[in-house]
Amino acid sequence: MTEEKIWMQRAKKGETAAFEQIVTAYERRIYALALRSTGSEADAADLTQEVFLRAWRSLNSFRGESTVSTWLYRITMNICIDFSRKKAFQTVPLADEEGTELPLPDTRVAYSPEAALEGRELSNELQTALGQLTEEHRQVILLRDVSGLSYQEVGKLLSLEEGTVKSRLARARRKLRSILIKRGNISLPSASKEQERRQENG
Amino acid sequence: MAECEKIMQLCEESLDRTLTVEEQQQLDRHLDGCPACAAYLADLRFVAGLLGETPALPDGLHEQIMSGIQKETRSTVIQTHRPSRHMPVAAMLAAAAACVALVLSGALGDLMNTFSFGLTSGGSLDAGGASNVTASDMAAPAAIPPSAGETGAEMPSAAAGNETAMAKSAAPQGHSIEAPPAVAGRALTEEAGMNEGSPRTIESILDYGEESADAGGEQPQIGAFISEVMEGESFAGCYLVEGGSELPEIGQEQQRDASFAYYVVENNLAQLETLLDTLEKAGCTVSRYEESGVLFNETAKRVIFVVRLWQ
Repeated sequence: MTEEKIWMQRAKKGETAAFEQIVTAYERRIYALALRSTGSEADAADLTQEVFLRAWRSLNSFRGESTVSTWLYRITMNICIDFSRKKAFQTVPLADEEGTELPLPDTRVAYSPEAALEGRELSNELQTALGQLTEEHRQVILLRDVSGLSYQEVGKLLSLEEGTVKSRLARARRKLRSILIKRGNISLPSASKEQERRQENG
Repeated sequence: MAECEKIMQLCEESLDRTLTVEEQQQLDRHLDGCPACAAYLADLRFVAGLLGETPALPDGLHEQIMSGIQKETRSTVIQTHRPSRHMPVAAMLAAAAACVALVLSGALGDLMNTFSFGLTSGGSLDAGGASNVTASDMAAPAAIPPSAGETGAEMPSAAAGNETAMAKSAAPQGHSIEAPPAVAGRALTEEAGMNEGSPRTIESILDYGEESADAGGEQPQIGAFISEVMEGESFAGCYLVEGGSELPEIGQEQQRDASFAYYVVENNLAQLETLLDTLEKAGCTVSRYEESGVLFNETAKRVIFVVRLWQ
């Protein structure tokens, strides 16, 4: 039995110190996933708390058939999805205060390397781009690229075949890159831009 | 271009480190002569690198998480001793039955001192609430005053002719509930110096609407229940059960959290109708729960019943 599962068994008996070992092992990764999912540090902190609280409440549902990480990530994804559904009613994406849609930068005409942003701004841009993906594309990217789960683990979490995870992930990454290029946040050599243009023009 | 398409797939797989040696060599050869694919791989790595950065945990978050769990632990201990929703209602009914018995026996004169004493010195809040419901306004149980002892002083005038009032107000409700010999009721009759006698059948006129509205803040976590306990199984729908004097047999409880108990029932029309009838006869309000955020499959073999627990 792995060390984690021993902690889990002890936590099931009400030992909070054992559960704290689980919290310590996963809190940064859960927070990172929640942060990429919500785009807000405050919301991510709240959701991370919620994840571990829910995990504590449902310790009895953990039967050891999956890994602790898969179990925790499943809880996290459920909470993040619930959160984004609630948020969806409050947020109008890509609209300014007057409600008119903001145009995406046309990188084919006016791309400039200076537009590539650094640090926090780049992170925010990445967040915006993630927000423009479909839910199913965003999920595979978050689980694979943010949480570092294997195809098999992602497949188990999302009830998908490994092959489907792989192809969906490829489509999701291309879409994400395409959005970032349109927004002017990835610097590409001209050949790459040309190829992108050709692909978009069919 | 066809080769570039194939190379793009290899780029993605190289990111996941799933390439064979041959594929890696094929990729390397192609990238040497194709800046577009080289840029594609660089972009993929750049974005994956950004996504894979693990941010620092905000200060104090670990402590907040553990403090929340400690609080939960303390409340859970209380929770295990807290009666489920149907218990206090049963106690209320028993207390109401006891009051009926007292009214019928004509022993009101001697009753009131003892009754008041019983409630103030050791009577449970449930019993006090029930006495108020019985004595003042049967149709509005929400108007429970803070002190049960004060209620006793109002009893004589309010209780006079109450039997008629009860019968009248009970008629439209149509719920008949056998009052169980609950502890609170027994204590009340013994304190009042009455013979306990056999439990009477009373017409329930308690309106559970207010109580349900109070508990309305918490929502059942159907998505979490399905994914965490039922391992992603498909369900045909979900019913929310609220109120009621006592909970009839629904099946094996699958999960319980602070506010709800979760059951799974076979999606069989005849069986469901019988269960719904039974629940409604027990005074429960059963409604289809549509706000679960879960996609149901009408052809699935099972449905979920969620019972809102008494808080």
